[in-house]
Amino acid sequence: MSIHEHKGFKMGSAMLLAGLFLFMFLPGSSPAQTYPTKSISILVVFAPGGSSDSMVRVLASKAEKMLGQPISVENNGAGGGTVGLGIIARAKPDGYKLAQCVSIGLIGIPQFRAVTYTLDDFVPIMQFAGGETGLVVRADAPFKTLKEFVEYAKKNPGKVTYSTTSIGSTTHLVMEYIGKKEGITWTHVPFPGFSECVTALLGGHVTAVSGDTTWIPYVQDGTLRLLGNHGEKRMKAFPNVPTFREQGYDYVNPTTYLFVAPKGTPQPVVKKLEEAFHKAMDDPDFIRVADQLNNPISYRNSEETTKFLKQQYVAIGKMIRDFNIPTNLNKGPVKK
Amino acid sequence: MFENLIYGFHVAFLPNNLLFCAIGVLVGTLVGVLPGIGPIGAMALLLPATFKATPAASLIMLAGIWYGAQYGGSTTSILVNIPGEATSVMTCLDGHQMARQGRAGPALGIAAWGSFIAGTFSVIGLMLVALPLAKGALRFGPPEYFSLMCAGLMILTYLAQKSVLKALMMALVGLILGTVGLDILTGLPRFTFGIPELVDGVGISPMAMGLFGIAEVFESLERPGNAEILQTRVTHLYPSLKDWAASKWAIARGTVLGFLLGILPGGGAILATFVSYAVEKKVSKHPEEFGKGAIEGVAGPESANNAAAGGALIPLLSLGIPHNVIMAMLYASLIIHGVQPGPLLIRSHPDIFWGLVASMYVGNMMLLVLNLPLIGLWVKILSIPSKVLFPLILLFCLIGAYSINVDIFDVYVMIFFGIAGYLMRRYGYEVAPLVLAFVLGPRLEQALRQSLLISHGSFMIFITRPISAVAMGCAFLLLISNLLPFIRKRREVYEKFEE
Repeated sequence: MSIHEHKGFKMGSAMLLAGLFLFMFLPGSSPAQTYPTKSISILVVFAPGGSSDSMVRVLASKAEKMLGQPISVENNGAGGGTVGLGIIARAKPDGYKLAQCVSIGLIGIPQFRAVTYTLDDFVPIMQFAGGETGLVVRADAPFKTLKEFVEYAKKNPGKVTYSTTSIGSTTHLVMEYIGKKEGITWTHVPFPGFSECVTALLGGHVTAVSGDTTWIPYVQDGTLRLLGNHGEKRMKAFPNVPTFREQGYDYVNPTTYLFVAPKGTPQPVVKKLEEAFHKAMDDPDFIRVADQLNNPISYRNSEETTKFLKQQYVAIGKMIRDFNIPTNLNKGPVKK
Repeated sequence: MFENLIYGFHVAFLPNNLLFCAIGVLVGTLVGVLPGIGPIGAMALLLPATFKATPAASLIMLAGIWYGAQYGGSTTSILVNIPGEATSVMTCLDGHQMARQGRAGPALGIAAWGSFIAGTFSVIGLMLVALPLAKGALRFGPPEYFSLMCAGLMILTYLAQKSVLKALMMALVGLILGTVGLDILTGLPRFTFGIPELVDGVGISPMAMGLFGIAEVFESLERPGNAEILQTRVTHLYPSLKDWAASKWAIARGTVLGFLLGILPGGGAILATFVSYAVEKKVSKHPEEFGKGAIEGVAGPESANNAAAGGALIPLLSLGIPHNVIMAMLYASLIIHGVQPGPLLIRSHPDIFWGLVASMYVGNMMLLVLNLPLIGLWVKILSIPSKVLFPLILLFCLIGAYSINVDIFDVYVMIFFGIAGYLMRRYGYEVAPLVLAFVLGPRLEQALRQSLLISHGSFMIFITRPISAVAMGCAFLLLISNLLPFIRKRREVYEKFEE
């Protein structure tokens, strides 16, 4: 890293000097127009090695060529991403400190527990991918389709158990939604990660997993069965499995992958970043990594993302109230 | 099998892969030696550097960092009582005592050899039984884990060196500390006092560094004559035949324990080191020497943590399930290279699986060659006067704690536990039970609550499921075997009293 940073620093200062000269000779050019003049840092609010991290590192390496400045990628996964988002919410809004997060960190978590920021503290730059999730069961289970699964659960109240990563997660909300709509009582058994959920399902300790694409290789080799995905479209890997919406449950997982900047970042800077990252999305390396992770590539620009987040914020809030999800918004003695 | 292995060595000995392996184990040793800066950070930094390499080469390097760190972690534990990694906490207990008696060389030597032997055998295990073991591990659901963890907690009482009562008190403190953070069921924070960083719970690394390293520095201030030199006399630089005789079974037991527990998700490696230490103390003919520089107390846990490194790869390579952050990093490196980890990995990418297995033999060999000559150098560190050495230790700990998340909060946590650790030493409370309970506590709670959800509140689930019942039985026997001497002693006292 030191070599890279050192080079970046030198390049950065050279560009800064060049920028200063430009600034002196071209009256009227504002910092926003000459942006970027130094290296940009992106804080990924998840641990290194996750799907966010893998996609961002590829995107950043492509975007830095277009922006002409090095981009450094850092991680802070503390507090489920809320610590990192808090840091960026309070960063200088000059476009040199950005965060990469998942929509839920902005529209879900703040409605469950006290965090040090709100949705309004950020300007979304763009969305580059959606998060794919779905419902899987063991292939040797007595039900073959979502409809049969729901019938089975109705006939055997309390017998069906399913796993997600926590109460109030998007994959839990969809199960609550079906439960309420169909009048089913089933038991939620949360595990800290989706890999543990899938392990429990493989071992036959739970009936179903509502979760991210950790299950793909098992659906492919015929150990598990996908009953439906929560996306807008069917999955590339399983074109024969209908979406939840097609099967009569109007739920699309609102998880999307975003870049955000602190509120007050100049509009031209946001535009420049939006464009650079949008172009980086066309790179074959990015497409390959996103495909491998089974995150459907989907683009929304800054305005569309803002609108989407506001809409989903309301929708999630309504579900939390409708399904009586426990929340704790008591701030306590927050220091920061 | 052998054709596969020969093919694997062919892959591992490609100049490019050999180079990546060497870089990996070297970086791993370095980050293992430096407190706080763990293999996770190093792997994250080097992950982008592997974009251009082949998938096999990048996996070989990243895995090298990881098992290399398990080697390096023991060095600081032995020399200056700071666990470089959470898995070398147990090494501090006897390793550092050995160093104080001038036996740092044998301690470091047995740690390196034990790691080498355990590392090699765990690779053989990985090769032979990866798939059946991974399938077997699937049968461990929440009730099985709960019972297993119960048995693990019973081991606590063996860790007690002085007072069993004080050890249990410390275990309780550990359990309480373990409840800080997000409640697994509701996803809501508990006991975080509104501090965002505490949402993830108290960090094990800053805590261990504080309880061991910082506490050591504070305690040193008490000793008169600040120019005291840690090393009193050097007897041997390498383990003697007597040391080997004492350690050989400890290494064997540590290897088996580490390999088996390493397969289990979450803290398997840490648990393995504790269990190994407890077992050595139990089977030893001189248990009173544990904590005062027994070489078995170094050999067992050090072998266990390296064997666990091989065990932990099993769920990833044979099932495609990453059980911890480090495995997630290896998972990501495969994904980035367009390789889908999963049950089909071994068949569809034999070069990656067998190349990695063979490279781990090679890497373990490199680590031995790298570490043995370094012992002489490390031992010299002890001849630095403590007025220079201790401030340096403090500085390294501060940097290390800060670098975990680039957050000053971890430094506060470390200092807090430094003061707590100092007071605990001062008044004879042991640190090890606290750390073990802290590691096991959250897992125990999670497994208990999940089991009761599955059983709709019936505790029978723990005895109606066979694996769970056996583990519960073991826990019960452990408890009884611990209480019997205690009761006998009581009875003797009463009988004397009656007379």
